[in-house]
Amino acid sequence: MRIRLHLKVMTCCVAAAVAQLGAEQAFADSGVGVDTALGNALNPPGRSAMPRTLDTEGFDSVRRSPTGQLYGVPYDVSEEPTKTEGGWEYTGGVEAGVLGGDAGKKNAIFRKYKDLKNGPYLDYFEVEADKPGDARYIQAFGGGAGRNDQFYGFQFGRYNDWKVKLFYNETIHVFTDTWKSLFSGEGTGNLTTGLPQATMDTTTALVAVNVKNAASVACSMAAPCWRYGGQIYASNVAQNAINGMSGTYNNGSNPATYSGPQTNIASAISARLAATDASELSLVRKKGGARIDATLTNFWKGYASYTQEDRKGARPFAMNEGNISYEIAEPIDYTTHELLAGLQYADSLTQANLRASLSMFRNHIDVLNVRDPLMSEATSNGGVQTATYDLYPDNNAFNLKGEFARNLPDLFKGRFTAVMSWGTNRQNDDLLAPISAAQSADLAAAGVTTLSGNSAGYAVGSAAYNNAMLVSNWNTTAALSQPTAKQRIDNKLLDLGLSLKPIDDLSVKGSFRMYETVNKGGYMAYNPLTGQFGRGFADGNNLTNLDAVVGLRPGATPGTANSCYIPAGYPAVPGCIFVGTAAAATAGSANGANVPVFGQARSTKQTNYGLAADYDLTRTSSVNASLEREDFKRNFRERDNTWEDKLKLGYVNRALGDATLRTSFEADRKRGGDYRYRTFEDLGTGLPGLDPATQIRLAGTLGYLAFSPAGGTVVNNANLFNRYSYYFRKYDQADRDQLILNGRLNYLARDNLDLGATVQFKNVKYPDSFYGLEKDNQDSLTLDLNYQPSAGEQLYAFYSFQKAKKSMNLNAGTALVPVINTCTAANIALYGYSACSDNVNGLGGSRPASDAWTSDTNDRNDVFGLGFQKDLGRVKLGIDYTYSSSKTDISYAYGSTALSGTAATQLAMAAIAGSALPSMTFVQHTLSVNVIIPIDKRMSVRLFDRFEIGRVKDWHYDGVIKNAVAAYDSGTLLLDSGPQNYHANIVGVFLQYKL
Amino acid sequence: MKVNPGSSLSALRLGLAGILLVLGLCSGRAAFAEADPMAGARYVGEKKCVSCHDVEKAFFGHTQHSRAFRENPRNDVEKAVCEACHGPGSLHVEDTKDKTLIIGFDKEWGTPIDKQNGQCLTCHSGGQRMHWPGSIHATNKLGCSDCHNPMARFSANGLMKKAGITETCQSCHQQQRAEFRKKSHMPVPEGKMTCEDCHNPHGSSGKRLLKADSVNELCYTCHAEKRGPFLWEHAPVRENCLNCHAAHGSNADKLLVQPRPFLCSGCHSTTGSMGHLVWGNNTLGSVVNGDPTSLGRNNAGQQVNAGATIVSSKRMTGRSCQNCHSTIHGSNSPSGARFQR
Repeated sequence: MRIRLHLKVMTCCVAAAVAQLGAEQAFADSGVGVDTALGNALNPPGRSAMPRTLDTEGFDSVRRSPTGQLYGVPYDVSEEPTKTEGGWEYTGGVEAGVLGGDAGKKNAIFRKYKDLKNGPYLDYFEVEADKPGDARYIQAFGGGAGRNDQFYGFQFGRYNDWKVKLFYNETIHVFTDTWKSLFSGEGTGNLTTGLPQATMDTTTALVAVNVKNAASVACSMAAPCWRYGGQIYASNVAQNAINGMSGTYNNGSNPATYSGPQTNIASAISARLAATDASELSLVRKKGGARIDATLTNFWKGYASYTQEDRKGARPFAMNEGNISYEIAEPIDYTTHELLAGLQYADSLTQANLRASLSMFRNHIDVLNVRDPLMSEATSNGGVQTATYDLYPDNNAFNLKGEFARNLPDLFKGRFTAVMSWGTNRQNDDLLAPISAAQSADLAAAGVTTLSGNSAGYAVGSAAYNNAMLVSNWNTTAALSQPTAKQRIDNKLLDLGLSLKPIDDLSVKGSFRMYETVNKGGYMAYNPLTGQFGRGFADGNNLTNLDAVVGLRPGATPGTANSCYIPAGYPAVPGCIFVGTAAAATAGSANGANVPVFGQARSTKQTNYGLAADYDLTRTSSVNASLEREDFKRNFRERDNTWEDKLKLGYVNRALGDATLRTSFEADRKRGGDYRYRTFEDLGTGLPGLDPATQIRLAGTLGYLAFSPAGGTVVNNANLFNRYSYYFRKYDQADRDQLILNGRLNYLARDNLDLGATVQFKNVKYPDSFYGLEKDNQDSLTLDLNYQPSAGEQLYAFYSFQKAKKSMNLNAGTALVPVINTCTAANIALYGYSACSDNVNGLGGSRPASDAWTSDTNDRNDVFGLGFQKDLGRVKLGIDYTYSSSKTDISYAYGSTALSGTAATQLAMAAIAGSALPSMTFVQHTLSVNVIIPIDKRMSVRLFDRFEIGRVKDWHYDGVIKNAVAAYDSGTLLLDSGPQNYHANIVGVFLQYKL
Repeated sequence: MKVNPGSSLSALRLGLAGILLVLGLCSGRAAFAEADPMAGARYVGEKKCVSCHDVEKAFFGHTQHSRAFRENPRNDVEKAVCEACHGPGSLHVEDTKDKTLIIGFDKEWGTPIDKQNGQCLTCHSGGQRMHWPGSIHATNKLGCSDCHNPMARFSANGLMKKAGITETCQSCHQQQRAEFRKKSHMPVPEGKMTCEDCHNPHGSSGKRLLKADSVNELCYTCHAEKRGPFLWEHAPVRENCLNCHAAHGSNADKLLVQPRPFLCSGCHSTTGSMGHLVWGNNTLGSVVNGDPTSLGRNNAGQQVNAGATIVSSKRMTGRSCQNCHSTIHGSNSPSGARFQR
């Protein structure tokens, strides 16, 4: 008999039935973990378009929830389950058929999280078997078989005793289908173009000689020449014309010559892309796991689970090298193991939970080497043609959490709660050498053993300098302060609460919560082989200029020669000649007078004190109030401490005529200690800036808002505006005033009709932010309707409106020195500029208030949905339609000198700058139609159609397809054209069979 | 690290005043507490109940409660089946019109919400419901049966009132329902996640019913690769993912709260600042497609930037700032101080 049952069950599992119940299967533990649902786009957790038979008698039993919302009409349960001789009862069904349409076309948005390609399709199966005699049950279900959004669940156990759950779930994530693959090896840790990389003499002198010998014009180190097509060009302009790109050439100090068939690298890339079809970048998450739950005694329960997720694919990524950047594909090959176990205790007075979790993340590709055609042969790269990325490191996280609650009936009907949690996040990946293995190979191939460039703190020609310039002193992990990461952040939580009911209608609660993250890691970029603090410049690629100095003077004013500061634990550096002036440090770093060498171990401590009261005005109405102080301490940030007071008032009335009203109003006020805008002094070799008082004084005197440290006037480091301006506020650290009004009304319009409305008004101001984000408002309104006139007719509708606005002030600064082709209207016409600048470097220069910009980001979103289900005789019809529209408009205005320091050019540039960016829009129509035609008692045919139209405009991707080559002109190569307009029509014919 | 005592104390005073006001209101009126009208009731058994409630019986028979109570009751209360939840029914049998003599879980019946919920918590206290008392849902006087309907089977598990968790939540949280329709969203509408992956509607010890001790700890549950810790940390990233991301949906890429580079400019007014981005030297050399004086306008009627319709600045196109600072969540490369490796 048992065998027969098993066969039956197996048959069910394989064949099984149409979803009699909710298509999506809740697998939830609302308290811990994820994986709360197994489903897919055709079996979603939301209202399904697939009509199901409702029970006419059940319609009469429909009530309203305590809030007043109509419950649904119960599904038809008239059919008795099939019974076996062994006492098992089972139900189930299967729905399978075929999908056809254009889901396989270029419609990444449509396919982002779903796989509805053409072909046979097992949409859903489900079987449930119960054995009432001993309370055992088995449940199996699944859907989307064989697709990248398939899901399966299997559960068995004994009611009120124990259960075991197994699941497997796949989720596809399509990032783009307009990707132009330039590189081979996408999805792996090695990207190569296969394009011939031009060879170049590695000896500058030899190059110069070669160039001279071939030149028809005079070439020298001071006036380098370029050779292309047998011709010699003598200027960088010509070089640009040859190569069609900037940023890859030697800027005059190191002449270079290209040879071979791929002299014009940009053209080669362009030709490659022109011959390459757009492809897809996506990944698939495959997750499976098991969980057991057991009722141990009347008071104790326990559970344990294990899950494993494999995530594999590739996603758009980007790399930069010097002044160029372009897109590459980041390989994704992750595995995450999760272990979870817990005990729960509950009696009439006491409850307790104890939980332990362990998460282990493993990245199977933790290094990405990119063979970069645009880096080829540039002497400034020292022969390095490879960029090396250290991708996400393996990490482990452990957490132990205990929760305790005790009712105190003798203390004003009180209740005490306590939560304690301790966790640790750790990673100790092997670190990359400053010059990676792949880069070392490049150097070896080029015969480069010695770096060249600035002294990086040592006197040129000294023994220390020569030692520091050896490649061998930078291409092993011995060149690091530590060979592995040794990073660790511990988390601690203590949460205490005491609630009392001094009178029956009033409850008050006091709470205390402390959450702390303690970073025990940190990192110092220190090379013990050379005695230098620092890194490879341009993050490891441009090895000529090591971003390194000797000695550190964090936070100090400019020092004098030999006044080095060596952090504790680091050896003294003989011959240290670091001079802590901006000029000296800039020699070793092109990005300001600071060399970031200190990976800060940032810790936080958040403490909340709360007091709340809830008072019943009547049996059906209440008011509540709460006050909370949040104190937030952190290190290495602009503010060591911020605090926020939060006052919240609420009103609930569940019998407001035929309505239920819930409202709340919240007023929050965040303030903090001194705003310390020069946080980089903690990070690097020193930004000896000015104290706030001095800044304010100078601002009043000179009218400037940004200052360099080297004398109180604006020099080349004024570009670091946010680091130098006392008036700039980063919004997460800024003073903030916040008002939030929430309201939800449920109205019982008729016996069979619900109406609802929701409002939220959110108003945020940053009152102390002269520059930075100033306002952040969002208003939302929703309306919804649910109409249930009969078991055979159901209708719903909803509309949502949301408007948001962020306003910010910025100061971009302008330079006052025009370049040769000054940005005048005449030159715009002559040179065909779409935009231009008369800046020397676009960043430098002063930043008077007249340079300031204001910018608004306006969002508007409208969503409308309508759906109904109706019986047409024996045929059931279901239709769902959703319209959503999102629009983002970014506008800006600027001061009189913001576009140019030269009055004559301001108007011309204003014509180009305009006052806005093109609107970003996303409009989507989704229509699903389902018709179910019963054939007999067990079989039905389901006809399905899903039609989607999407219209996207996003200026981030404008022109990429048409104008990819032009991108080289600005040192940028984009391979992803982003989301595109799409339409998709998917038709399905399914046979439903009930067991 | 100076504290502004005035500002904080004023808010404190205001809050205390509000709470005292509530307390004052309380002192002036009598409590609602009354003697329990069901105090003398006794259990009558399921058969007695279904003699009238036969329709309910048919649907209830397919629920987990029914099977647990009927097939494997753990105590005498569960053996009572209907009365396990509705309370002893002898007085209700005698007077079916008096709604105080049996516990109902719908709006029509009018049983006080605390009494309804208390009945559920008789068995379901502790565990994932430990923090229900005082939670935002409890304060807003939601009943357990606002989300659950144990009288019929609408969902495969959990006795939800709708077919799924998300649909149940969205019956009130319509704003979030709409936000998940934005261009960038997590796969909730596609059935791969539910609200409960992040929130515990039964209450939690954290803010916004989140299931973890902090926002970041919650996000790391699925985005474990971003957990690090890294050699080079991006401070606001480590502090709170929501500094940059809108969890429920966004019209910008990657659930960002604002399109890049403007999001970045909120903190970095250097290379991410306006002049450099909108018209700066990065667009130098780009070719105007047509007459620059007849540029287009956006939906608000404002003249759009000339360079914006063609590929130009690497600081504007594609991932904008992340075209170079691609490891923005933190870098483990010794050379990654600026999140470029």
